[in-house]
Amino acid sequence: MVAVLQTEGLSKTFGTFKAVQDLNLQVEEGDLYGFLGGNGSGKTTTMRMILRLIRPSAGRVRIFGKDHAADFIEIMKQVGALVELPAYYPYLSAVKNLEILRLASGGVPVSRIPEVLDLVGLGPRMHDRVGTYSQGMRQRLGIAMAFLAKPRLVFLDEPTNGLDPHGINQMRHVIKEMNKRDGVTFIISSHLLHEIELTCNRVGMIKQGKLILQDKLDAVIARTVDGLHIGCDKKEVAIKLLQSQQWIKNVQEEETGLIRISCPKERFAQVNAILAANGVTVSELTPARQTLEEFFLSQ
Amino acid sequence: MMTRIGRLTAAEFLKLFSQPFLYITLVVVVVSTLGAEVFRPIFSGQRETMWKTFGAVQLFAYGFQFGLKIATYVLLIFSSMMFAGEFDRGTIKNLLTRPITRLDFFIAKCVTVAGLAVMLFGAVFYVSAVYALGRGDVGPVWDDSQFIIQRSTQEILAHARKAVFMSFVAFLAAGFLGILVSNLTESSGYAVSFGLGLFLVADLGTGMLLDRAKQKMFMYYPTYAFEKLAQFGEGTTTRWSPDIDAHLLYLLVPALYIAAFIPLAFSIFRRRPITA
Repeated sequence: MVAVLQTEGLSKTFGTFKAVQDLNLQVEEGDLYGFLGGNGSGKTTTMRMILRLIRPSAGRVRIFGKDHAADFIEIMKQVGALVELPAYYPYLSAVKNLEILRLASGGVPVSRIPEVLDLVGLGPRMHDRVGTYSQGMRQRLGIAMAFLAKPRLVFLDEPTNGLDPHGINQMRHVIKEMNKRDGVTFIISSHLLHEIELTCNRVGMIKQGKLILQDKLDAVIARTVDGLHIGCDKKEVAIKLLQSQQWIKNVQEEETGLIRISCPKERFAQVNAILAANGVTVSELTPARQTLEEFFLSQ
Repeated sequence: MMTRIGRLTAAEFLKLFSQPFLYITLVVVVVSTLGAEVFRPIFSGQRETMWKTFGAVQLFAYGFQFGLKIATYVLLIFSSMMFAGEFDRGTIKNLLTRPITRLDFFIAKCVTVAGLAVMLFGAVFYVSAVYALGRGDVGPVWDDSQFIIQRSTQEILAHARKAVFMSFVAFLAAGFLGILVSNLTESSGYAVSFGLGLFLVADLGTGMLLDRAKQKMFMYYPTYAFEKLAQFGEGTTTRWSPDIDAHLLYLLVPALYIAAFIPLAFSIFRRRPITA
């Protein structure tokens, strides 16, 4: 796989505050890369550094295998971005807002403007002043701005901000479709873990400016398996038995009637053996996983 | 690079011409120019007689001087908003994440300010010239006590051309002052207030300076040019200031200001983190 984006030791310091520390991101062509992190974790600062809106304190960025400082113009011809809140000229229509960016981008045909506005569902109101738009419509316009020049790589910072459930679903569909049909690589920063789980195939997690995890989503999900759901008879006996084992944590009976425990994956068979040896009949034994949110918080 | 600057300039003009405020200010400039041509002769106590009517150049000077002053404020308002407005709205990040450099963007803004300056200057020129030519004689300038020609038509027109030329570079310098101020803050409101405030203080302060010191201020030259031109038209002066003429100060001083404003503004813009 070709690395579309690669950062090496990317860091940013504001005074004494280390906003981003030694970040090594690796995004491959065709990835739907979820860039996860809480508020103030350094996601937007990282995006700004990659897009050269702010200067890194250290480190380098390579996009499409090129140095982003040396080949910025060539690189940006194939990059679209929505950074934080969408920005626009409120006294202009969506069409004119995009016309300004079309002129700035170069090489984009005029016919692309209605096309991209239709894509994000703004077609019927494309000639209205943006100042009269709702927050969700402005967010759609921001996404249309990022898609305007048919980019190969798109950065979307909190793209579902202000969208209603229908809008979120529609955007997810558009992103997946563009990824599948045109091979567009997306880097989606968000603190909405569920949304990332539904959209992305790879994730990077950032916490206090440090990358704490970067892997395929499937692999991350596999790592979220942290215990078992146990269906059995003699529940009181079973709970006491399980609680007596030092390597088993958080033993609790759930509303479903199953017992939930936390323990290492490699000892699942041992759990069954202990219960069986003490006369407890096990009827169900299924892996229990944390939500991505619980997993993120536990890191 | 030239293509990118051309495209960005087209985008800047699209934004500029889409602002209703531009048309309101144009009307204000036109009305101010006409107002000065109509009312200044009345308030100055001059009277037309059957032997002497107002000269077209004299009226032109009245209108141009006041109209250009108002146009300078308008130019300052727009140029002060050029960068600060993009930061204010956050649109700067949309533009700088396109395949352009900060230098392209900066030059496009400068070209736009220069274009706006030409447009405003042209509007003032056109309105004051049309009214002046419609109402007064182009020349010659007569001495009505001795009934002799004091200044030929060619001579007075040459002075008018010189006054127009003299004032343009200084007018342009005001636009670049706005660009500098626009890079000092991320709020367009603050930028406009600061730009106008700075210019007003400097302009009023210039009036209190000695002649030699005045000549070092770029805002002095439009006033000087049209006060002199009015005097030529009225027949109360016979020559331009030799100091200013000999060293082309009317060109040199505003050009030096522009040469200082542009690199200073760009060095601020180039280093600026875009956190809008």
